[in-house]
Amino acid sequence: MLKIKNINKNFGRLEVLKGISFEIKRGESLGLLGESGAGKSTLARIILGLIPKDSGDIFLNGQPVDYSIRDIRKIFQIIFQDPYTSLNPKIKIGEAIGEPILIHKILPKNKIRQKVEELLSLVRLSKEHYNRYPHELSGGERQRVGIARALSVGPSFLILDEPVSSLDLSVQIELLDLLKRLKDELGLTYLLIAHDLAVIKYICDRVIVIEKGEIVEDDKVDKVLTSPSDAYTKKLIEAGLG
Amino acid sequence: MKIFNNKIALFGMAVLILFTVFAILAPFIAPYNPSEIIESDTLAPSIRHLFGTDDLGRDIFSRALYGARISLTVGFISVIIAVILGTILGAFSGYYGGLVDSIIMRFVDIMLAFPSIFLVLTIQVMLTPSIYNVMIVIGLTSWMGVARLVRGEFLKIRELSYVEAARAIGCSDLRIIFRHILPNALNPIIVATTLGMAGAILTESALSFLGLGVQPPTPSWGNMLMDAQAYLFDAPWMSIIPGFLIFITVLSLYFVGEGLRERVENP
Repeated sequence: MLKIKNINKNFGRLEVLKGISFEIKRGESLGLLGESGAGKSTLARIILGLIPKDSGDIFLNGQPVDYSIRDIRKIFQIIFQDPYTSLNPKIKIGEAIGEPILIHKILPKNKIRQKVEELLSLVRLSKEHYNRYPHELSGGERQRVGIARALSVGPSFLILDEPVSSLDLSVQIELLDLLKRLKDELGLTYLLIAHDLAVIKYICDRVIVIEKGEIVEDDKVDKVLTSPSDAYTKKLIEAGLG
Repeated sequence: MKIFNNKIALFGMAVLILFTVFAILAPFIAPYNPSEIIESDTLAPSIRHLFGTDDLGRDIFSRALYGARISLTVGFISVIIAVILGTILGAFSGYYGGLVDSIIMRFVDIMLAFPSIFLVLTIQVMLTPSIYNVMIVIGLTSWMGVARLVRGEFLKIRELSYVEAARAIGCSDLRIIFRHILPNALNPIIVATTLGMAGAILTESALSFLGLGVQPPTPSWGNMLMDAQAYLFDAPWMSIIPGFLIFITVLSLYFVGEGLRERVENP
Protein backbone atom coordinates (compact mmCIF):
# COMPACT_ATOMS: atom_id res chain seq x y z
CA MET A 1 0.00 0.00 0.00
CA LEU A 2 2.70 2.45 1.03
CA LYS A 3 6.20 2.41 -0.39
CA ILE A 4 8.98 4.57 1.02
CA LYS A 5 12.05 4.90 -1.15
CA ASN A 6 15.41 6.31 -0.17
CA ILE A 7 14.21 9.14 2.08
CA ASN A 8 16.84 11.63 3.23
CA LYS A 9 16.42 14.52 5.64
CA ASN A 10 18.93 16.89 7.19
CA PHE A 11 18.34 19.53 9.83
CA GLY A 12 21.17 21.90 9.10
CA ARG A 13 24.32 19.76 9.27
CA LEU A 14 22.63 16.98 11.19
CA GLU A 15 21.68 13.99 9.04
CA VAL A 16 18.46 12.73 10.60
CA LEU A 17 17.39 10.22 7.94
CA LYS A 18 19.85 8.48 5.64
CA GLY A 19 18.24 6.64 2.77
CA ILE A 20 15.26 5.05 4.47
CA SER A 21 13.34 2.53 2.31
CA PHE A 22 10.58 0.12 3.26
CA GLU A 23 7.13 -1.02 2.29
CA ILE A 24 3.88 -1.50 4.18
CA LYS A 25 1.19 -3.82 2.87
CA ARG A 26 -2.51 -3.05 3.22
CA GLY A 27 -3.82 -4.24 6.57
CA GLU A 28 -0.34 -4.74 7.97
CA SER A 29 0.93 -3.40 11.30
CA LEU A 30 4.51 -2.36 11.02
CA GLY A 31 6.50 -1.44 14.11
CA LEU A 32 9.19 1.21 13.99
CA LEU A 33 11.67 0.78 16.81
CA GLY A 34 14.51 3.05 17.81
CA GLU A 35 15.91 5.18 20.59
CA SER A 36 14.83 8.79 20.96
CA GLY A 37 16.69 10.86 18.41
CA ALA A 38 16.89 7.97 15.95
CA GLY A 39 14.66 9.86 13.49
CA LYS A 40 11.37 7.99 14.03
CA SER A 41 9.18 11.04 14.54
CA THR A 42 10.84 12.89 11.68
CA LEU A 43 10.04 9.97 9.40
CA ALA A 44 6.43 9.98 10.61
CA ARG A 45 6.09 13.70 9.89
CA ILE A 46 7.56 13.29 6.43
CA ILE A 47 5.13 10.47 5.59
CA LEU A 48 2.28 12.72 6.80
CA GLY A 49 3.58 15.66 4.81
CA LEU A 50 3.93 17.89 7.88
CA ILE A 51 7.56 18.57 7.05
CA PRO A 52 9.23 18.34 3.63
CA LYS A 53 11.77 15.65 2.76
CA ASP A 54 15.12 16.51 1.22
CA SER A 55 15.04 13.66 -1.27
CA GLY A 56 13.38 10.30 -1.87
CA ASP A 57 9.93 9.13 -2.93
CA ILE A 58 6.73 8.09 -1.24
CA PHE A 59 4.23 6.00 -3.20
CA LEU A 60 0.66 5.24 -2.24
CA ASN A 61 -0.77 2.29 -4.16
CA GLY A 62 1.91 2.81 -6.78
CA GLN A 63 1.26 6.55 -7.23
CA PRO A 64 3.62 9.25 -5.93
CA VAL A 65 1.92 11.06 -3.02
CA ASP A 66 1.01 14.70 -3.65
CA TYR A 67 0.99 16.48 -0.30
CA SER A 68 -0.36 19.73 -1.74
CA ILE A 69 -3.80 18.09 -1.94
CA ARG A 70 -5.70 18.49 1.29
CA ASP A 71 -7.53 15.22 0.76
CA ILE A 72 -4.33 13.36 1.57
CA ARG A 73 -5.28 14.05 5.22
CA LYS A 74 -8.29 11.81 4.75
CA ILE A 75 -5.99 8.88 4.00
CA PHE A 76 -3.04 9.45 6.36
CA GLN A 77 -3.74 10.23 9.99
CA ILE A 78 -1.65 10.28 13.14
CA ILE A 79 -2.09 9.62 16.84
CA PHE A 80 0.26 11.84 18.80
CA GLN A 81 2.48 10.84 21.66
CA ASP A 82 1.36 13.25 24.34
CA PRO A 83 -2.42 13.40 24.82
CA TYR A 84 -1.95 16.32 27.21
CA THR A 85 -0.51 18.71 24.64
CA SER A 86 -2.02 17.40 21.42
CA LEU A 87 -5.55 18.60 22.24
CA ASN A 88 -6.34 22.31 22.15
CA PRO A 89 -7.24 23.29 25.76
CA LYS A 90 -9.87 25.79 24.54
CA ILE A 91 -11.80 23.44 22.28
CA LYS A 92 -14.45 21.06 23.59
CA ILE A 93 -14.08 17.35 22.90
CA GLY A 94 -17.10 17.17 20.62
CA GLU A 95 -15.91 20.04 18.49
CA ALA A 96 -12.36 18.69 18.35
CA ILE A 97 -13.59 15.35 16.99
CA GLY A 98 -16.05 17.00 14.60
CA GLU A 99 -13.55 19.54 13.27
CA PRO A 100 -11.93 17.31 10.63
CA ILE A 101 -15.40 16.32 9.36
CA LEU A 102 -16.34 19.99 9.17
CA ILE A 103 -13.25 21.27 7.39
CA HIS A 104 -13.20 18.44 4.86
CA LYS A 105 -16.97 18.89 4.34
CA ILE A 106 -17.49 15.16 4.73
CA LEU A 107 -20.96 15.57 6.21
CA PRO A 108 -23.48 18.45 6.34
CA LYS A 109 -23.22 20.45 9.57
CA ASN A 110 -26.38 19.08 11.14
CA LYS A 111 -25.17 15.48 10.75
CA ILE A 112 -21.81 16.03 12.42
CA ARG A 113 -22.96 15.72 16.01
CA GLN A 114 -24.45 12.30 15.39
CA LYS A 115 -21.25 11.12 13.71
CA VAL A 116 -19.15 12.44 16.61
CA GLU A 117 -21.31 10.51 19.07
CA GLU A 118 -20.78 7.35 17.02
CA LEU A 119 -17.03 7.97 17.09
CA LEU A 120 -17.13 8.52 20.85
CA SER A 121 -18.77 5.16 21.36
CA LEU A 122 -16.37 3.55 18.89
CA VAL A 123 -13.46 4.51 21.17
CA ARG A 124 -15.48 3.60 24.28
CA LEU A 125 -16.16 7.12 25.50
CA SER A 126 -19.65 8.26 26.45
CA LYS A 127 -21.86 10.97 24.96
CA GLU A 128 -21.29 13.00 28.11
CA HIS A 129 -17.74 13.68 27.01
CA TYR A 130 -19.06 15.74 24.10
CA ASN A 131 -19.25 19.01 26.03
CA ARG A 132 -16.17 18.51 28.18
CA TYR A 133 -12.85 20.29 27.86
CA PRO A 134 -9.60 18.29 27.55
CA HIS A 135 -8.45 19.21 31.08
CA GLU A 136 -11.49 17.44 32.52
CA LEU A 137 -10.34 14.10 31.04
CA SER A 138 -7.71 11.57 32.11
CA GLY A 139 -4.71 10.82 29.93
CA GLY A 140 -6.24 7.62 28.61
CA GLU A 141 -9.53 9.35 27.80
CA ARG A 142 -7.71 12.12 25.98
CA GLN A 143 -5.80 9.63 23.90
CA ARG A 144 -9.15 8.05 22.94
CA VAL A 145 -10.29 11.50 21.83
CA GLY A 146 -7.12 11.75 19.73
CA ILE A 147 -7.96 8.40 18.14
CA ALA A 148 -11.60 9.38 17.48
CA ARG A 149 -10.42 12.62 15.91
CA ALA A 150 -7.99 10.82 13.62
CA LEU A 151 -10.65 8.29 12.63
CA SER A 152 -13.30 10.94 11.93
CA VAL A 153 -12.13 11.40 8.34
CA GLY A 154 -12.15 7.67 7.67
CA PRO A 155 -8.41 7.20 7.06
CA SER A 156 -6.97 3.92 5.85
CA PHE A 157 -3.45 4.48 7.17
CA LEU A 158 -2.66 5.48 10.76
CA ILE A 159 0.68 6.46 12.17
CA LEU A 160 0.80 5.82 15.91
CA ASP A 161 3.61 7.95 17.29
CA GLU A 162 4.40 6.45 20.70
CA PRO A 163 0.65 6.36 21.39
CA VAL A 164 0.89 4.94 24.92
CA SER A 165 4.34 5.94 26.16
CA SER A 166 3.05 8.79 28.33
CA LEU A 167 0.29 6.72 29.97
CA ASP A 168 0.09 4.43 33.01
CA LEU A 169 0.77 0.77 32.38
CA SER A 170 -2.82 -0.40 32.99
CA VAL A 171 -4.15 2.27 30.65
CA GLN A 172 -1.52 1.33 28.06
CA ILE A 173 -2.90 -2.17 27.68
CA GLU A 174 -6.48 -0.90 27.45
CA LEU A 175 -5.47 1.46 24.67
CA LEU A 176 -3.42 -1.10 22.80
CA ASP A 177 -6.41 -3.46 22.91
CA LEU A 178 -8.60 -0.69 21.54
CA LEU A 179 -6.14 0.00 18.72
CA LYS A 180 -5.99 -3.69 17.87
CA ARG A 181 -9.76 -3.96 17.77
CA LEU A 182 -10.14 -0.82 15.63
CA LYS A 183 -7.61 -2.13 13.16
CA ASP A 184 -9.60 -5.32 12.65
CA GLU A 185 -12.99 -3.59 12.61
CA LEU A 186 -12.03 -0.82 10.21
CA GLY A 187 -9.37 -2.62 8.20
CA LEU A 188 -6.67 -0.08 9.02
CA THR A 189 -2.98 -0.16 8.26
CA TYR A 190 -0.68 0.87 11.12
CA LEU A 191 2.80 2.24 11.41
CA LEU A 192 3.49 2.03 15.14
CA ILE A 193 6.43 4.04 16.42
CA ALA A 194 7.84 3.02 19.80
CA HIS A 195 11.05 2.79 21.76
CA ASP A 196 9.73 -0.27 23.58
CA LEU A 197 9.63 -3.61 21.76
CA ALA A 198 6.94 -4.96 24.11
CA VAL A 199 4.45 -2.39 22.79
CA ILE A 200 5.33 -3.27 19.19
CA LYS A 201 5.07 -6.98 19.89
CA TYR A 202 1.54 -6.46 21.24
CA ILE A 203 0.23 -5.08 17.96
CA CYS A 204 2.66 -5.69 15.11
CA ASP A 205 3.79 -8.65 13.09
CA ARG A 206 6.80 -6.99 11.53
CA VAL A 207 9.32 -4.51 12.89
CA ILE A 208 11.87 -2.12 11.48
CA VAL A 209 14.69 -0.96 13.71
CA ILE A 210 16.35 2.34 12.95
CA GLU A 211 19.57 3.64 14.40
CA LYS A 212 20.90 7.13 13.67
CA GLY A 213 18.68 7.52 10.64
CA GLU A 214 19.40 4.12 9.08
CA ILE A 215 17.43 0.90 8.99
CA VAL A 216 19.43 -1.84 10.72
CA GLU A 217 16.74 -4.52 10.89
CA ASP A 218 13.53 -5.40 9.06
CA ASP A 219 11.93 -8.69 9.99
CA LYS A 220 9.11 -10.53 11.80
CA VAL A 221 8.83 -9.41 15.43
CA ASP A 222 9.31 -12.92 16.80
CA LYS A 223 12.42 -13.46 14.76
CA VAL A 224 13.92 -10.13 15.80
CA LEU A 225 13.15 -10.97 19.43
CA THR A 226 14.76 -14.39 19.39
CA SER A 227 17.65 -13.89 17.02
CA PRO A 228 18.38 -10.24 16.22
CA SER A 229 20.88 -9.86 13.44
CA ASP A 230 22.20 -6.50 14.53
CA ALA A 231 24.18 -5.59 17.63
CA TYR A 232 22.14 -2.39 18.18
CA THR A 233 18.87 -4.34 18.11
CA LYS A 234 20.32 -6.77 20.68
CA LYS A 235 21.12 -3.84 22.90
CA LEU A 236 17.58 -2.46 22.57
CA ILE A 237 16.01 -5.83 23.36
CA GLU A 238 18.21 -6.32 26.39
CA ALA A 239 17.46 -2.82 27.61
CA GLY A 240 13.72 -3.33 27.12
CA LEU A 241 13.25 -6.85 28.40
CA GLY A 242 16.20 -7.50 30.68
CA MET B 1 -11.11 33.96 40.80
CA LYS B 2 -7.95 35.39 42.23
CA ILE B 3 -8.64 38.86 40.86
CA PHE B 4 -11.41 39.27 43.40
CA ASN B 5 -8.87 38.78 46.18
CA ASN B 6 -6.82 41.63 44.80
CA LYS B 7 -8.33 44.62 46.62
CA ILE B 8 -6.66 47.24 44.48
CA ALA B 9 -7.86 45.67 41.24
CA LEU B 10 -11.29 45.29 42.77
CA PHE B 11 -11.32 48.99 43.64
CA GLY B 12 -10.33 49.86 40.07
CA MET B 13 -13.05 47.60 38.71
CA ALA B 14 -15.66 49.25 40.97
CA VAL B 15 -14.62 52.75 39.85
CA LEU B 16 -14.77 51.75 36.17
CA ILE B 17 -18.18 50.12 36.53
CA LEU B 18 -19.48 53.17 38.43
CA PHE B 19 -18.16 55.60 35.80
CA THR B 20 -19.52 53.48 32.96
CA VAL B 21 -22.96 53.41 34.57
CA PHE B 22 -22.84 57.17 35.10
CA ALA B 23 -21.76 57.70 31.50
CA ILE B 24 -24.54 55.50 30.12
CA LEU B 25 -27.18 57.11 32.32
CA ALA B 26 -25.86 60.66 31.80
CA PRO B 27 -29.07 61.97 30.15
CA PHE B 28 -31.11 60.82 33.15
CA ILE B 29 -28.71 61.85 35.88
CA ALA B 30 -27.44 65.15 34.52
CA PRO B 31 -29.40 67.99 36.18
CA TYR B 32 -28.76 70.44 33.31
CA ASN B 33 -28.03 70.48 29.59
CA PRO B 34 -24.20 70.28 29.43
CA SER B 35 -23.92 72.84 26.62
CA GLU B 36 -26.49 75.32 27.88
CA ILE B 37 -25.54 78.51 29.68
CA ILE B 38 -27.78 78.36 32.71
CA GLU B 39 -26.12 80.46 35.36
CA SER B 40 -23.60 83.17 35.94
CA ASP B 41 -20.03 82.04 35.25
CA THR B 42 -17.50 80.38 37.56
CA LEU B 43 -19.79 79.68 40.48
CA ALA B 44 -18.10 77.64 43.20
CA PRO B 45 -19.48 74.14 43.93
CA SER B 46 -22.75 74.25 45.84
CA ILE B 47 -25.88 72.15 46.34
CA ARG B 48 -27.38 73.50 43.09
CA HIS B 49 -24.21 72.96 41.13
CA LEU B 50 -22.31 70.06 42.68
CA PHE B 51 -19.09 70.77 40.79
CA GLY B 52 -19.76 74.48 40.25
CA THR B 53 -20.11 76.22 36.88
CA ASP B 54 -17.50 76.99 34.24
CA ASP B 55 -16.37 80.19 32.53
CA LEU B 56 -19.52 80.29 30.37
CA GLY B 57 -21.89 79.45 33.21
CA ARG B 58 -22.44 75.80 32.27
CA ASP B 59 -23.00 73.16 34.95
CA ILE B 60 -19.71 71.26 35.41
CA PHE B 61 -21.37 68.18 36.95
CA SER B 62 -23.50 67.72 33.84
CA ARG B 63 -20.51 68.38 31.61
CA ALA B 64 -18.41 65.85 33.53
CA LEU B 65 -21.13 63.22 33.06
CA TYR B 66 -21.38 63.80 29.33
CA GLY B 67 -17.60 64.13 29.15
CA ALA B 68 -17.33 60.64 30.67
CA ARG B 69 -19.37 59.32 27.74
CA ILE B 70 -17.00 60.87 25.24
CA SER B 71 -13.76 60.08 27.03
CA LEU B 72 -14.66 56.47 27.82
CA THR B 73 -16.04 55.84 24.33
CA VAL B 74 -13.01 57.35 22.63
CA GLY B 75 -10.69 55.36 24.92
CA PHE B 76 -12.56 52.13 24.32
CA ILE B 77 -13.02 52.39 20.54
CA SER B 78 -9.43 53.56 19.98
CA VAL B 79 -8.00 50.67 21.95
CA ILE B 80 -10.27 48.21 20.12
CA ILE B 81 -8.98 49.51 16.77
CA ALA B 82 -5.40 49.20 18.05
CA VAL B 83 -5.95 45.70 19.44
CA ILE B 84 -7.61 44.36 16.27
CA LEU B 85 -4.87 45.79 14.06
CA GLY B 86 -2.06 44.72 16.41
CA THR B 87 -3.51 41.23 16.83
CA ILE B 88 -3.87 40.58 13.11
CA LEU B 89 -0.39 41.87 12.24
CA GLY B 90 1.23 40.19 15.25
CA ALA B 91 -0.54 36.92 14.49
CA PHE B 92 0.65 36.77 10.88
CA SER B 93 4.11 37.85 11.93
CA GLY B 94 4.46 35.18 14.59
CA TYR B 95 2.73 32.40 12.69
CA TYR B 96 4.47 32.71 9.35
CA GLY B 97 7.85 33.98 10.55
CA GLY B 98 10.53 34.55 7.91
CA LEU B 99 10.01 37.35 5.42
CA VAL B 100 6.45 38.19 6.55
CA ASP B 101 7.73 38.54 10.10
CA SER B 102 10.67 40.73 9.07
CA ILE B 103 8.49 43.09 7.03
CA ILE B 104 5.84 43.49 9.73
CA MET B 105 8.35 43.89 12.55
CA ARG B 106 10.41 46.50 10.66
CA PHE B 107 7.16 48.38 10.09
CA VAL B 108 6.52 48.18 13.84
CA ASP B 109 10.02 49.53 14.52
CA ILE B 110 9.41 52.44 12.15
CA MET B 111 6.09 53.26 13.80
CA LEU B 112 7.69 53.10 17.23
CA ALA B 113 10.57 55.32 16.16
CA PHE B 114 8.13 58.17 15.46
CA PRO B 115 7.44 60.22 18.57
CA SER B 116 3.79 59.21 18.50
CA ILE B 117 2.31 62.34 20.07
CA PHE B 118 3.76 64.40 17.20
CA LEU B 119 2.51 61.91 14.68
CA VAL B 120 -0.96 62.11 16.21
CA LEU B 121 -0.80 65.92 16.28
CA THR B 122 0.32 66.12 12.66
CA ILE B 123 -2.42 63.84 11.44
CA GLN B 124 -5.01 65.66 13.53
CA VAL B 125 -3.94 69.04 12.14
CA MET B 126 -4.38 67.73 8.61
CA LEU B 127 -7.76 66.13 9.25
CA THR B 128 -10.87 67.91 10.41
CA PRO B 129 -10.90 67.38 14.15
CA SER B 130 -13.81 65.15 15.10
CA ILE B 131 -14.43 62.47 17.66
CA TYR B 132 -14.23 59.78 14.95
CA ASN B 133 -10.91 61.02 13.64
CA VAL B 134 -9.58 61.08 17.19
CA MET B 135 -10.48 57.43 17.66
CA ILE B 136 -9.02 56.34 14.33
CA VAL B 137 -5.81 58.31 14.77
CA ILE B 138 -5.20 57.03 18.30
CA GLY B 139 -5.98 53.50 17.16
CA LEU B 140 -3.64 53.68 14.18
CA THR B 141 -0.74 54.95 16.28
CA SER B 142 -0.95 52.63 19.27
CA TRP B 143 -1.19 49.07 17.90
CA MET B 144 2.53 48.29 17.90
CA GLY B 145 2.80 47.07 21.47
CA VAL B 146 -0.07 44.66 20.90
CA ALA B 147 1.50 43.42 17.66
CA ARG B 148 4.76 42.59 19.45
CA LEU B 149 2.94 40.91 22.30
CA VAL B 150 0.74 38.80 20.01
CA ARG B 151 3.73 37.85 17.86
CA GLY B 152 5.52 36.57 20.95
CA GLU B 153 2.52 34.51 22.01
CA PHE B 154 2.16 33.05 18.51
CA LEU B 155 5.85 32.15 18.36
CA LYS B 156 5.39 30.23 21.59
CA ILE B 157 2.07 28.54 20.80
CA ARG B 158 2.78 27.55 17.20
CA GLU B 159 5.37 25.04 18.46
CA LEU B 160 2.83 23.25 20.64
CA SER B 161 1.67 19.85 19.63
CA TYR B 162 -2.01 20.73 19.22
CA VAL B 163 -1.04 23.13 16.43
CA GLU B 164 0.75 20.30 14.64
CA ALA B 165 -2.32 18.16 15.30
CA ALA B 166 -4.50 20.81 13.66
CA ARG B 167 -2.21 20.79 10.65
CA ALA B 168 -2.31 16.99 10.53
CA ILE B 169 -6.10 16.95 10.28
CA GLY B 170 -5.89 19.46 7.42
CA CYS B 171 -6.78 22.84 8.98
CA SER B 172 -6.01 25.88 6.84
CA ASP B 173 -3.50 28.46 8.11
CA LEU B 174 -6.29 30.95 8.81
CA ARG B 175 -8.20 28.38 10.82
CA ILE B 176 -5.11 27.49 12.83
CA ILE B 177 -4.37 31.17 13.48
CA PHE B 178 -7.86 32.25 14.51
CA ARG B 179 -9.46 29.07 15.86
CA HIS B 180 -6.52 27.24 17.42
CA ILE B 181 -3.86 29.76 18.44
CA LEU B 182 -5.68 33.05 19.06
CA PRO B 183 -8.06 31.76 21.77
CA ASN B 184 -5.00 30.54 23.66
CA ALA B 185 -3.30 33.93 23.35
CA LEU B 186 -6.32 35.90 24.55
CA ASN B 187 -5.36 36.50 28.19
CA PRO B 188 -2.33 38.72 27.58
CA ILE B 189 -4.32 40.53 24.87
CA ILE B 190 -7.03 41.37 27.41
CA VAL B 191 -4.39 42.75 29.78
CA ALA B 192 -2.94 44.84 26.96
CA THR B 193 -6.41 46.13 26.08
CA THR B 194 -7.00 47.34 29.62
CA LEU B 195 -3.64 49.07 29.88
CA GLY B 196 -3.98 50.40 26.33
CA MET B 197 -7.32 52.00 27.14
CA ALA B 198 -5.64 54.03 29.88
CA GLY B 199 -3.12 55.29 27.34
CA ALA B 200 -5.86 56.08 24.82
CA ILE B 201 -7.81 58.13 27.36
CA LEU B 202 -4.66 60.11 28.19
CA THR B 203 -3.95 60.73 24.51
CA GLU B 204 -7.52 61.86 23.91
CA SER B 205 -7.25 64.25 26.86
CA ALA B 206 -3.96 65.63 25.57
CA LEU B 207 -5.39 66.13 22.07
CA SER B 208 -8.56 67.78 23.34
CA PHE B 209 -6.52 69.93 25.70
CA LEU B 210 -4.59 71.18 22.69
CA GLY B 211 -7.83 71.81 20.84
CA LEU B 212 -7.19 69.04 18.30
CA GLY B 213 -9.44 66.43 19.79
CA VAL B 214 -13.09 66.53 20.68
CA GLN B 215 -14.47 69.89 19.59
CA PRO B 216 -16.56 72.22 21.77
CA PRO B 217 -19.35 72.47 22.66
CA THR B 218 -19.23 68.64 23.04
CA PRO B 219 -17.66 68.14 26.45
CA SER B 220 -14.79 65.74 27.00
CA TRP B 221 -12.59 65.67 30.08
CA GLY B 222 -9.69 66.90 27.96
CA ASN B 223 -11.39 69.95 26.52
CA MET B 224 -12.88 70.80 29.92
CA LEU B 225 -9.28 71.06 31.09
CA MET B 226 -8.49 73.32 28.17
CA ASP B 227 -11.36 75.64 29.13
CA ALA B 228 -10.00 75.70 32.68
CA GLN B 229 -6.52 76.92 31.77
CA ALA B 230 -7.23 80.63 32.21
CA TYR B 231 -9.08 80.11 35.50
CA LEU B 232 -6.55 77.96 37.30
CA PHE B 233 -6.57 80.18 40.40
CA ASP B 234 -9.91 81.98 40.10
CA ALA B 235 -11.97 78.81 39.61
CA PRO B 236 -9.76 75.84 40.55
CA TRP B 237 -12.73 73.42 40.49
CA MET B 238 -12.86 73.83 36.72
CA SER B 239 -9.50 72.06 36.37
CA ILE B 240 -9.52 69.88 39.47
CA ILE B 241 -12.74 68.04 38.56
CA PRO B 242 -11.85 66.84 35.01
CA GLY B 243 -8.20 66.36 36.03
CA PHE B 244 -9.21 64.15 38.92
CA LEU B 245 -11.64 62.16 36.74
CA ILE B 246 -8.93 61.47 34.16
CA PHE B 247 -6.48 60.58 36.90
CA ILE B 248 -8.79 58.19 38.72
CA THR B 249 -9.99 56.51 35.50
CA VAL B 250 -6.49 55.93 34.19
CA LEU B 251 -5.32 54.75 37.60
CA SER B 252 -8.27 52.33 37.85
CA LEU B 253 -7.50 50.92 34.42
CA TYR B 254 -3.89 50.33 35.48
CA PHE B 255 -5.03 48.67 38.71
CA VAL B 256 -7.35 46.33 36.82
CA GLY B 257 -4.75 45.69 34.11
CA GLU B 258 -2.05 44.84 36.63
CA GLY B 259 -4.49 42.64 38.55
CA LEU B 260 -5.34 40.75 35.35
CA ARG B 261 -1.67 40.49 34.44
CA GLU B 262 -0.85 38.93 37.79
CA ARG B 263 -3.70 36.50 37.35
CA VAL B 264 -2.60 35.59 33.82
CA GLU B 265 1.06 35.17 34.70
CA ASN B 266 0.47 33.05 37.82
CA PRO B 267 -2.52 30.89 37.00
